[in-house]
Formats: sequence, structure tokens, C-alpha cells
Amino acid sequence: MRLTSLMCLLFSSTLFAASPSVGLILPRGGQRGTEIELTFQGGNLSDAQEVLVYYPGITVRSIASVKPNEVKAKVAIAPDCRLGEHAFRVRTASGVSDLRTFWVGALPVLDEREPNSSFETAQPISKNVTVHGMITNEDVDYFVVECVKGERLSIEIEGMRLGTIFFDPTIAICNEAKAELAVADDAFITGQDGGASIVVPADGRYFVQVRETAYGGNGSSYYRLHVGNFPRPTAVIPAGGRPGETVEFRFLGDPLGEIKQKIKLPTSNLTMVRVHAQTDQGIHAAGIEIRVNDLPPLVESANASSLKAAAAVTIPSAFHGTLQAPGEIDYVRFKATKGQVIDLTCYARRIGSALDPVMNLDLLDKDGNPARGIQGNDDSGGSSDAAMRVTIPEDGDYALRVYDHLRGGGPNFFYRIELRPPESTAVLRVPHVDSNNRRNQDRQTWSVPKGGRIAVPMLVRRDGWNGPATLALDDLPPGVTATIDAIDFGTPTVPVILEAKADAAMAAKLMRPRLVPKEGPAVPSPPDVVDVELSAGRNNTTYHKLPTDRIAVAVAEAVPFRIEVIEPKVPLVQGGSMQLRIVATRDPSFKGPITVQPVIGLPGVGINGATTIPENATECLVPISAAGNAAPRKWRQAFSATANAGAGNLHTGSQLFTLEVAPPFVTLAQQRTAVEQGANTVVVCKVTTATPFTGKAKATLVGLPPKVTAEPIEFDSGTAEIAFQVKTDATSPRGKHKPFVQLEIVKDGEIIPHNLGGGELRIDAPRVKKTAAAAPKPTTAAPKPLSRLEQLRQEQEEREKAAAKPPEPKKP
Amino acid sequence: MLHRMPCPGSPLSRRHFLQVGAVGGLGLTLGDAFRLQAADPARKASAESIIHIFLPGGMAHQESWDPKPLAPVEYRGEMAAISTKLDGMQLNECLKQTAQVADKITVVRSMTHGEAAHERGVHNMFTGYRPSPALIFPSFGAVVSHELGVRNNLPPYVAVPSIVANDAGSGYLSSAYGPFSLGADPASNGFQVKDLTLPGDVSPDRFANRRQMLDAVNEHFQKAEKSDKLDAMDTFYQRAYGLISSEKARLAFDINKEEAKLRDEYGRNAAGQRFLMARRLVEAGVRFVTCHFGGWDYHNSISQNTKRSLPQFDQGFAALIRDLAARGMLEKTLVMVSSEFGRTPKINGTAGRDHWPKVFSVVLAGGGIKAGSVYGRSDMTAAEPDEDALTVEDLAHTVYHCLGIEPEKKLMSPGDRPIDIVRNGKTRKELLA
Repeated sequence: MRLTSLMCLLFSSTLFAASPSVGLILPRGGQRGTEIELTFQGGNLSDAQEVLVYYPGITVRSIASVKPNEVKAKVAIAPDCRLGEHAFRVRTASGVSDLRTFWVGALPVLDEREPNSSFETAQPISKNVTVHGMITNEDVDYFVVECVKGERLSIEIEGMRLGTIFFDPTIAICNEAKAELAVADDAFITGQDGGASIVVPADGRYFVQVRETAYGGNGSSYYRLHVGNFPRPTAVIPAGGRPGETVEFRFLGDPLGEIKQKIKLPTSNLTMVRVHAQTDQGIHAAGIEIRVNDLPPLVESANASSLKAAAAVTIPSAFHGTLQAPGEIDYVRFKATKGQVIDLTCYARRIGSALDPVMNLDLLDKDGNPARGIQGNDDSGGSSDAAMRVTIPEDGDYALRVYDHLRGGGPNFFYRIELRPPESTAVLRVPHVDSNNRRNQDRQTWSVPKGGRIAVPMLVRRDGWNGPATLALDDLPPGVTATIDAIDFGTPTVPVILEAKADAAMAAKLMRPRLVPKEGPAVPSPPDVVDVELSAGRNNTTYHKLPTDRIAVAVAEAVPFRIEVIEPKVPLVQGGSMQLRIVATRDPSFKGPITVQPVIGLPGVGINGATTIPENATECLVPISAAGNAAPRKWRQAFSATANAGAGNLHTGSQLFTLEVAPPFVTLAQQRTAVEQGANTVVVCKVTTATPFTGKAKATLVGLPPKVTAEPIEFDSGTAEIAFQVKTDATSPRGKHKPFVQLEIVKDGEIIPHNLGGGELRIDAPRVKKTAAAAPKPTTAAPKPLSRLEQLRQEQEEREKAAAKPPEPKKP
Repeated sequence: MLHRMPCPGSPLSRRHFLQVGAVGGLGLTLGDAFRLQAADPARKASAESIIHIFLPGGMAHQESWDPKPLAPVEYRGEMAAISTKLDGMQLNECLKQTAQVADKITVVRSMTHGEAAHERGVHNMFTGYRPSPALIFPSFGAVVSHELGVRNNLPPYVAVPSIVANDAGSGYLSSAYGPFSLGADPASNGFQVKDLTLPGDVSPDRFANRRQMLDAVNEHFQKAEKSDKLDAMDTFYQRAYGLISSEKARLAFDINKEEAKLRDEYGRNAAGQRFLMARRLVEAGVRFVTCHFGGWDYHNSISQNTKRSLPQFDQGFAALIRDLAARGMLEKTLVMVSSEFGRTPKINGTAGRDHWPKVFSVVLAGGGIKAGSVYGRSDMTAAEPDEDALTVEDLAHTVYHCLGIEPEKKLMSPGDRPIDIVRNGKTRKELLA
């Protein structure tokens, strides 16, 4: 035992720990107001130091690494903790794990107990509990609960939303006669997770059934089933409000009727907030998501379904309504002036409404009747919700028509329409490294090695503004500094360099990046900087994700290698290439291969995706090429480096460096040439010098077929024409070949390779010399055999000729 | 009514009895196989047999037969090109041994079709037809089986180790023309083709008893009804018994009879041993052997993946060509290396390449094909055929031409609809020796 421990110590001293991972947190949820122990399952967790908590309401009391692949943490969930999904990461000495979720509920939690796979063996439960269970293949779980007539029995499940695996649950309430009283597969407010509520028809025992929709399931198909008297509305009016405001909401769709409730909206930067209906009987577990922003909210009057009587709104504002009955059309009227740009955005499906909205904007005549249609939209931005940006064609009254795509309607067809001038927004995103598997969270956190640096990419997009901006990373861990260049408009991805001091303390921050315009008003910080996708179905379709606005940045232990890019002194010319030199320094203990990769892609510039610095070597050359139409400009680029130093991949990065794309120094017009096999010829190229150079340029004709040679040519700046002496032999392949010129110009001691010219070289067979002896003799060609049709025609013609012949004169 | 009750009598059906093990996943019984003997192989052929090496998943032409060392890095990829024995022909750096037999093969760099989905690409390359919802076409092997029939008591079409897709089956032809699958990998220890031995619990005596029982039944039928078919059936059974009890047949399938040195030369891996098995079967008389190797669908990290898989192929393929040549078999054995499609000209975001049927490469050798040549050309970035684009119809036409099968011949599909073996193809004379 002692020997093992000693060996472990010795072994670990030569191994560098690597990126930790977490695949699952158990249990999948807990009750607020309690303290529970969470188990984080994953890999490389033996040096765990901290659990990072994303949202307020959960406090980590203690943390213990029990196995290399398991960490246990005691957490306290505050009594007022927000209901729903919470997120954690584990920080170890070497980095930060994947983001995984944990669900907070209001009800006490009990575990499912098998056998409960039939009505007869149903697990008895009391009302108002959350069951934590699992569905294995073809498993059906039954629970039985005693109810009294007239009370509300609600069930709601978290399955797909737990984000563990693709698990689509179906739940049902059955009576003692095993008849289904309510069944729920999917719901608008909870997606693939359903919910149902009934008013209990008679005293007695009621069964709750849980299964996978297609009777699938496996050891990862966890669920949390809420069973109780809690309200379960399916719509809310208004579906939005202003931050900090106390709004009286009308919750609709509950079997016991409408619930009115005042809720104070938060003042955070969140634009989507869940509101939970609450009564004496309990609180709705899922809640309904609404929009929170500064737009003045208006609620539909009774007249909205009549164009003439519809209320006029001012811009900006937010309009809330419901399409109460099938076929109903709601109207929103407003005045607008010519040239005014208005964003009209409908929130319906996105916030759990049954409505698939279609919006049409009409210009009204002086009598208030539609004069002409201006613009319409059904779906936008990958969502079923309609949105459009309208440039108003003339001053006047306008009416926005809203209806369901399938002309449906009902109490849960609620919506919010935002009418506002275009807003300046920014998108910042840590890109996924594996586009084929978006659930892969590799490199979604930034772990900076002590005394080292990392180079990471950041996607940048502006909407509604342009011009230069800077990326602000305000809340980095102490001892970490960031280097980012100003970001020009049109740059899709920028490299970010983060460096940590050698004595920086091991710590992590959940840092919220901002894009700051150099001029003009500030833009809101983007809500989905890290796009964590959790459950995916077939074809990698995402079924549940948790975008977050914060990046986990940590100071990690030092890594045993560093890289530096030798910045090229010469430009990369359009259509040309270069070899970029990258130099590594290694700690004496580390000899393994290091893979270097460019941090960002540059438009029109091809850079070798992954180049390896071999074992024990200290440098490599990375091939780079530019397209003929690559934009001539200076780019800022960096390389990241990855190596396995024992227990997994470690990362570091280069400095930022400049890569300039420039037009070629010279251009060549290569003339078309033809030659006979065995003969020699000259390939002539007209030279145009755009940038004078010193010394000799060396030109080589490449792409020649075998058995064809041409000596390289050297020429000076300003030379007007060069000619390659091309030699062929009798076996040189006939046909059209496409050689081109590789040109090397030396500047500042570095070579600038050009690829120029390009033209046809045709190799023909030698012409046959005519000699008297070889003069062709006239030959009599054999008559071509006639087809049956031709024979018939010939016979017919002969018959006709015979018939047409004048009769021989009678002999006197 | 739809659910027929199983016969309550003997579980050993007449058909099952003849299968003796599990002859072929597609229900090819040896009895079926020998019905093929009646075919007339009299047509003049430059190839007597064919070894079809299929590389599933879509092998990148850039990282194999058609490197583009002069193209920009995002097109040429990371891998280097090497010179070969054939002046001017370059191959991927992993094809070192193949480079030494380049003078014996023809690389076609202008293969083209329009199907970028795996199953559709496989269909094209196994049948010479675009997939049709109306008809399932027979594979090359099945047509060969149908047209040329049995030789030396061996099944005419064998899949090593198994069929890679249903497109390699018999299509609208009877399943009798489908491939005989080995069902085990020749590279594995203890490899044995189970179909050729009696099931463990059946002793030779018991087998003889069963045979007598069947003979008695057959005799009854023959007395009751006079029919050529019945006579023929009897003959097929006799031949099947012959193969099952034939030492020679068993030897053809016993790779352990190859010299250890030769097995090492081919490579003790899936590629080498499958190719060696193919050579052994062809030598014994099998007309068409299809073997598949690897999975080449490298959407990610194409260089690393190629470096892992291609050397095995290289060793086995070069050894096969050398071995066939040394035995004097290359002249009469057509070797075809093909894949579903090629891969995209540009390296993608995950350092791989995606599906690209517009241009890719196939390799032909022996059996009347020109030795040491490159046919066709792709453009500068291996994106489109530049010269002599070769269609699947023309490839099929050329292969059937070499095998002495009339490509324009019509075979009867269900509903008595005659279907050309190859539609609208022509033999590319430039490929022929």
C-alpha cells in the first residue's frame, strides 16, 4: 500500500496533469433550502481545487477529490435560490472542466425505487415531491399517489433539459382503471419535456407513468419528475417587462383557472427571465420565459383583432397579446415617417407560446384601410418567430398584422412584439473546436499556464454598427494580462493572447467579455459567449443547450514548453507562398512532439492546419499560401501549441505577429507554345515589375511533364521579357500541359516565393515528312455495303427510271 | 393468415441441409453456386479473374494516387509526394512500395461521378449504374458470376472477408449470383472459413446419412415428374457435396498454407492478409474476389489518419502486384482499386476533407490493362477532371471488356425487362495494353 503511494508520488512528479473533464453531476438536482453532496464524474480530477458556480443561490461548502475521475462537493442551496438550471465547472491545478448542469426545485426529492415497472408494483409517493429516477431500455416507471376530488394534480418532468443525453420522456396520469386522464410528451414551454395538470375527478389513487417516448432509455437517462398540487399555467400576459419593475402577470391555462400574480423583475443584464406562477398549493417548476428590457410595455386591448379599432402604439414599444381563437388576426397600428428604419420582432415560440407567428406590415390609406403591403415575414434567424427590419417607404399610418402560420389560436397563443429602431449589438463567441460534434467542450475555457501564455480565438460580429472596436476582458484572475489588437470592421475572428505571471496564484474567474466601440454608444454585452450544447439528437441536432455570457479563465500550473513565431520580414504575395518558422523552448524534462496550429483563419490565406515539431526538435516550418485574390493587408495572427506531457493535452501559445499580404512584385504573361516531340522550343514570358527589387529574381518553369526540361533563369528588376529554353525528347508525352513559373525574390535575407504565369505547352507528334516514294497511291475504295433501306430505295429508283423511259419508237 | 406456422417436422430443411454451415450471408447455397457452371465462358478475354480492392468511406485522391505538390497548402495538404518507378508519376509519401511497382499499374486520375453520399457512391462503384429507386442493380461480381460461372468447383464470386454493402450483392439477378462471404478476417489468428467444414456436431457418417435421405427424396420426385430442372438440381447438389468434401477447395480457403515469408511480405494486417487471400482464391479458380480494407471517411485529421492506414494498404497492394507478376498471374488477373468517391479539394476546418465525387482516382493493373501509365488528369487543385474524364459506365465497360463479357448484353430483370449490363458506356482503348 505504502509502496503504491510512493510510486504514485514518483510517477506524478514526472507527469503534467492535463485538462480536466466533467461529464455528469449527480444527483441531477436538489431542493432549495437544503444542503446536499454533489458528485462530479469525469477525468483528470485528482488535483481539483475549486467548484466554479455560475448563478447565485448555491454556495460550495467543501470539496474533496476522492478518485482521479471523481470529485465530491457539499453545497448549500439558498431558500430563495432561482428555480431551474444551474451550472458548474471544476477547476483543477491544470485547468477548468466542461460546464455541467444541476437543477434546483422547490419540492423535496426522493429516489425512484425499482421494481416499479407496472401498475401493480407502482412506487407509492406523497404529493408534492420530486422523484429522481432513471429510465433504462424499455423501462416504464409507475408511481401512485392518493388524491382527493377537486384538487389539482400536476406533473412535470425534466429529462431532455437535464442535458445528460438525448432522452425524450413521455409522462401520463392514469386512474385506478388504468385509463389515461392526461398524457404529455412535449410542451411549448418545456420542449421535449412534457407536463400535465388535471382537476382530480374523484377521491382515489392516481398513477403517474414515466417512459421514453420510443421506449428507449439507458443508464444515462436520468429524470426529475415533479408531482403535486402546484399550478401549471401554459401562457403569461404580458410576456415581458422592464427591469426592476413590479408587473402583475396573468397566468393562463391552469385547470383551476387564471392566476394573477405580482412579480418584481430583476435588474440584471439578462434579457430573458423565467417567471413562476405561485399559489398556496405550490410553485410552477418550469415557469415561463419572458423578455426583460427597457421598451414601454403595452398590453392588447379587446379591440386588437379589428383593424379599425386597433390601438395605435408609438415606437419604441413592446406589444403583448394573445390570439384567442383559431383564425384570429391581431393588428398593431403605428405612425411612421419616410426613411425611418424599424425592427419588428415577435417573441412567441421562443418564450413557450403555441403561436408560430406570421407578421405583415401594411400601409393604410386615409380611411384606415390597407392600401398596400410593405413587408412580411414568417420565420427568422433559425426560429419559428417572425422578425423583420423595415425601411418605411412614405409618411403615414401603418398596421402590423399578426396571425398563426396555420391560422390557429387559443389561450396559449400569446406573443410579445417589439417595435424599435435598430439596436447596436455585438456577438462574441468562443468557437467550437470540433464542428462535427458541438457537444465537445474542448478549448471552451481559457487556462493560462503560470509563467506562460495561451493564444485563443474569439469570434466577433457587429450588428447595427461598424467601425473599429476593442475587446474588453475586465475581470481576469490576478496576475493574468490580455493582449488584443484593435478589431477592424469585417474581421470575423481575432486572436487573444493571455499571459500569467510566474507567481500568479492558482485561481479562476467567470469573466464577461465586452466589445467596446471606439466611437459611439456602448453595446450590450452578448448573452451567449460560450455556447454549451448538452443534448443532441440525430444529425447532431441540438435539443438542449445552455449559452452563457461568461468565459472561465484560470491560472493553471506551468507547462514544460513554449513557442515563438519568427515574424516574417517579407510579405506573403498574392498567389505566392512562404514557410513560417516556429521555434519551441522545452524544459529539460519534456521531449515529446508539439503540434502547432494557427489560432484564426485568415480570408484568402491558407495556413497548414496542424504542423508538428518532432520529438526533441525545437522548430518547424509551417507552409502558408495566399490566394491570387487575397486582400492585400496586414493581418495579426498567433499559433497555439499542444503537447501531451503524460496525462493528456497541455496548451500554450505564441505571441501575436503580423502577416502581410501584398501584391506580387512582378507579374508574368506566359505565352502559349507548341513543340514537336524531340524538338526544342522557347517559352516566353513578358515581365511587368510592380515593386522593384534588388538582386536577382530566380524563375523556374514547373509543372512540366516528364522528359521535358527547362533550366531556371535569373533576371534583374525591370527586365521586360524572359525566355525558358525547353527541351523535349522523342518520348515526351504528347498533349496539352500547363506549366507555370515559380519565382523567388530575396528581400531582407528572406525569400518571397511567387507563383506566376501559367499557360499551355502543347507537345505534338513529329510531322511525317513527305517523300516521293511515300506518295499515296490512289486506291479504289471497296464499295460500301448498302443497308436494307438503301437497297429498297435503289430498287425503287431503278423501277422509276425504267417506268419514266420513253417507250421505244415503234418500228415502222 | 399472414403468419404461417413453421413446419412441425424436422428442423433441418432441404435448403438448410445444403447450406452446411452458413454459405454466404445472402443465402447463396453451394447448390445455387453450381447452377452457374452452365454458363459459357468461351468469349475471348484478356483477364480470367479480377481482384477488386474496395476502400470504403471515400479515399482522398490527394492523399493517395493524385498528390498536388505544386498546389497551395490548403489544397495540397500536409503530406508529401514521392517519385515512383514511372517517370513523372508521383504518389503519396505513404505509397513507398507501390511506387516501386508503378511500372506495372495504371493510375486513373480522372474518375468522376456525381454522387456525394456514401451509399450512392458505393452503388456507382460496385454496379456501374447510378442508384435507381426502381431497380436494384447487380454488382460486377454478380454479373461475372452470372456470365462466367463456376471454375474448378469454387464459387465464382467471393467477398473477403465479407460484403461491404448490399450493393456488392446480386441485385435483380438471383441471389445465387451473390458473393460467398468468408465471414472471418484472414488477418485474425485461427482464421477458418466455416462454410467449408461440417458443423461441429455433424460427423461425416451423419452427413452421409443425411445425403442418402435427401437422395431418397429426390429419387421420389424424379420418378413422379420428369424435368430437366430436377436433373440439374441433382447435379448441383453433387457438385456442392464435391466442394464440401474436397480437399482442394478447402486448401484454397486456407491462408495458413501460404509461406510465412510471403505472408510477412503482404503484411500481417487486415490489408495484407485479405489481399493474399484474394490472390490465393484467384489462383485456385475464383473468378471475382472483392476485398475491402479500412474506412477512409476522414472528415477530421486526414494526414494522421492516412499515415495510420495507407502504409498497410501500400505494403499489401505492392506485394499483391509483385506476387501476381512473379507467378505469371498478373497478365490474366485484373486488379482494380476503387473507392466511393474522392475528397474535397480544400482541407476543411477540422484538418480533414469531405466528400467529393467530381474527380478521384482508381487504379487498374494486369488482365489486359496497360502497365505503367497514368490515364486522365485532374486540374491544378484536384477539383475537376482536366482530361479524359472516366465515367463509371466506361470503367465498367472496360472491366467487362477485359473479362470477355459483352457489356451491351441485356440481362433479364424482374418483370422480364431486359437491362444492359452497362448502359451507355464504352471501352476506353487507351487503358488497354
